[in-house]
Amino acid sequence: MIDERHYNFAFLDEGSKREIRRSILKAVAIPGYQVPFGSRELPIGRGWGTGGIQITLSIIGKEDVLKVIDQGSDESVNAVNIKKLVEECTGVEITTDSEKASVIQSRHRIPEIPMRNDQILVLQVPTPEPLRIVEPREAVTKQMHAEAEYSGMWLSLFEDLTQYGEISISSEYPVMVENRYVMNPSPIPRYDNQKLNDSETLYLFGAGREKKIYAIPPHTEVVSMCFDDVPFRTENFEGKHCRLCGAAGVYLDEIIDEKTGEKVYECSDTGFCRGRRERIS
Amino acid sequence: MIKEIKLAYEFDFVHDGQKVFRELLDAMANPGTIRKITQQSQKFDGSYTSLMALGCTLLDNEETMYVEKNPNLSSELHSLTLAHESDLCEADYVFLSSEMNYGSMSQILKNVKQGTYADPHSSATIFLLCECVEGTEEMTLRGPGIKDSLTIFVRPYIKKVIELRDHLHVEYPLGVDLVFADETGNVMGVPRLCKVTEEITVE
Repeated sequence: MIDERHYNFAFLDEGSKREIRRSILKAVAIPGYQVPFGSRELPIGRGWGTGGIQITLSIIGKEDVLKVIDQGSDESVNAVNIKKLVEECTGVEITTDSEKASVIQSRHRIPEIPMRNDQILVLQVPTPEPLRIVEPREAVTKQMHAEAEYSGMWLSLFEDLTQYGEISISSEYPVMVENRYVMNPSPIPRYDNQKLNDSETLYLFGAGREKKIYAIPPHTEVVSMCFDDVPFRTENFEGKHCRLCGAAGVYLDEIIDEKTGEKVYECSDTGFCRGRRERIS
Repeated sequence: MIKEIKLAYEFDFVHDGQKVFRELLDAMANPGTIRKITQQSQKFDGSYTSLMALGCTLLDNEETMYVEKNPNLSSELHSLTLAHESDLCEADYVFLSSEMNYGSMSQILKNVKQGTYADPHSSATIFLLCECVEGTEEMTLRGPGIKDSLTIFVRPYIKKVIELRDHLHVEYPLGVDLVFADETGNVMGVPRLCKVTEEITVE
């Protein structure tokens, strides 16, 4: 284990943690607003979850139980490396059981089992600015948020609708938080957007490369942007089920069976799937 | 003769600071609920132990503070965190170590940093020490962090301070965040979007 002889508890120095903690508190007070922070260097390249890692390292304590997932998987390279880093420099217990975890760091998914109020979900964010698709200049998007000037965003959704007959955004679907800030919910699928609204848990979003932290406290109004006559739609898995645990009505990954060449489906949340299989057997 | 060295504080800035932060985070994410930092605040000697624990968790030389009429608290916070005192209108964190009359409280709420539309996070957080957080006054809160509404019983001073802040009608996202604490280590957060409302009873 890397201990205090090598690094401070949770790797970051206390000054860095304090700054990140102050930013987190402001983010909670202003849901959906991107609080700038001095993103630190980490032994992982920017763009590999450094925003989420910095939040996790700043909030984690000795009694916490940590779960890290990447696209729903506990075993992917990104998740395993982050788990190793945090475990090495804190000694906290690591789990794959989302009900046992007190802090869950995730890339691009929200766990299938509803999270509780005593848990925190930390999401890694590559591009925190939802307005980047309509305006490339940071100074301008900042002013657009200041003035709640979101007509460009609405127009972009409308253009998408006229071009494809539906809003074609598959992930990072923009949301309106407390009827004030347009927010990028990180590249979670549309299926997960509804879990952000009036949730029991606190969501913290960290973008290390872009140096932004934002949050959604529990029981906050989060509405996926759509038009009155074109309601928001999530992915449709009707008639499909997981080939491993048989679960239906959950978010599924589509896989091509190498032998038969057929499309098959598996639970995206591997911890949830494993738990079901263990209970069944 | 061997004299026992008495420590001014036993607060561990790494682990106790983390615990205080998590309680404060819970308090801000769930307004109106009372969290406890008793164990950590008891590690300070003397008075204002809750404010000391909160200050040592958040302050450093990058932040400015304003401490109302309490040079001892100000000097202790400065010596432990290196945070500098500033004028009220420029302070990032405001510490009120006693319950103030409502006229003075109103002036403080009017004069603290409220942030700007582009940078609403450049606003003040006010830590208020009360005799006790819990009390006899019924108060109903609404806002993010609260499922529908939450009715709690608090000290009348707390309800009045939140109402004074709400009556300023500062347009969101501008505003100040309030954190109430008492000497027994109770902490309650009331961020800017959380408002006192009258409970509506449906007959």
